[in-house]
Amino acid sequence: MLQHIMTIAADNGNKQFMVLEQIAANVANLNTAGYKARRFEQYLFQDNRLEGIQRVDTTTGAPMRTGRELDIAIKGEGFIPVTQPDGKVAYTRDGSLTKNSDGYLMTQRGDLVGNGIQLPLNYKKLRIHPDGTVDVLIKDQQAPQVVGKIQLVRFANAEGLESIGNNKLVPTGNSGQPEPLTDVLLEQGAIERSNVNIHSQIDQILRLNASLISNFRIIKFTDDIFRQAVNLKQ
Amino acid sequence: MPTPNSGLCWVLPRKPLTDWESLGRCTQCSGKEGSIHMTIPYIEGRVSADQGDGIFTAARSMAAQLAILNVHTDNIANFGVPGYQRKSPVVHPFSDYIGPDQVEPLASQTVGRLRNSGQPLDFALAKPGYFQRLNPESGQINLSRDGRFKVNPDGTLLSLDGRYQILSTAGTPLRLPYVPENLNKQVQVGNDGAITFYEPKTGNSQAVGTLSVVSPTGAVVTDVEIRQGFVEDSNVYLQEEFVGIMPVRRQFEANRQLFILQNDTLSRMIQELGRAQ
Repeated sequence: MLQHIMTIAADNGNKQFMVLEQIAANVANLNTAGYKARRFEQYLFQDNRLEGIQRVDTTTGAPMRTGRELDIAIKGEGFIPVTQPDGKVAYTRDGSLTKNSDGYLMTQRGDLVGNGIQLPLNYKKLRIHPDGTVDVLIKDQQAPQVVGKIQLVRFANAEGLESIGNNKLVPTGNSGQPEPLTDVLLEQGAIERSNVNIHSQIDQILRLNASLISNFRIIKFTDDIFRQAVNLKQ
Repeated sequence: MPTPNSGLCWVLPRKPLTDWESLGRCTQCSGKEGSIHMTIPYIEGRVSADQGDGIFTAARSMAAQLAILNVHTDNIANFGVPGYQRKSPVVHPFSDYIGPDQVEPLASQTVGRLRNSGQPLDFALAKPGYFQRLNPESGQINLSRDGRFKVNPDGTLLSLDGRYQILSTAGTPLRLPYVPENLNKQVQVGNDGAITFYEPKTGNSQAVGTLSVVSPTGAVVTDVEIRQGFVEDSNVYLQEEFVGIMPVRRQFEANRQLFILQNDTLSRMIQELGRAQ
């Protein structure tokens, strides 16, 4: 019985630290573009054991206007496919783009956007249309020239995507395969802010703190009783 | 006063229990072999056939206190679990057996605080009742107040851990026609638990089914109130748990003292009896 109480309390302590981990990640990424808040949801497993899973809040964050022509914000659902240096495809919502020395559109983390969209070196103006089409206006030319398209994708269950760090996600069996998204709404000159709700993080921290304190109290308490039970002769 | 047995000399010094040493020899017969003196009434009952019974009572009572502590620990551990119902330890007084089986956890039926989570698939029960969850592998149905659901890629409503499907009033698992692009707009749940699915392309709404809400005995609850986008926090109040734990500690200590006292008594008695031989 005493060991059982200790196990429950220790288990709960571990779970609370996992909650803390998620909160810390959320607060640290409060200003990361396109970041999706995580949360650690606790639930009761069979035989009253405490279990938890990590969930991702997939709601869209508020767009923040930057005026920078390489910034895009996705309104609503969708992910930008990126090709990593090792050739593997990952997905992100971080629309703060840049370009490398060859003129390719890149993310800030050094991944190619799509399969690679090369911009001419001497363009005057770059436009990213709401449907993802990228065109540039070259000096001394009248009509803009289409250089590529950022084809956004969606997943049947975006929550099932696995985070691989650096604000990138990869599909899993639970998320389904990427499907091209038709009704895209991209906004140029803005980035999507993270959807972290700082007030709810504070609320969670307070609850977590109370739970942890009570938990350690219980361990101390059980330890006292344990000692008394062991030294029953004195 | 007991009648003197053969070989034993009985006197009544009425000394406190802790002062057993002085009782080793009889003052009247000046330590003749085969004489022993015992206090009355302290040991009167304990030299009988049911001697040692008090020790077991104390031990069982300590076990019962641990069972109570266990219930409180469960409550504290599940403080952060939405939909968890606080258990209060109920000790049955009518049983003469005091042990772990005598303590029964009784779930409190009060509704916990509703918290806005903003998640479209969080359905909180604002009144007593339980959701019915079906385990598709074993076919068993269990009850839970945890209303945080998710959908799998084919649209079936699942519990948070993904192990259970959620039953409708028709007794079938609830399933959306497909996973919508915008859960917030396309899945609407009425106060009575009726789920409607909105099709933005055609502008039509279609009924998916009604969440089944039952009482602990399995009877259908008619007075249902479901809030979408809310979770019900557990109805555990930590301070109450610690108030409940304080007597546990004191009673454990008291029973421990009783145990030690009686154990000493018994051990002295055996020693003295042995010396008397």
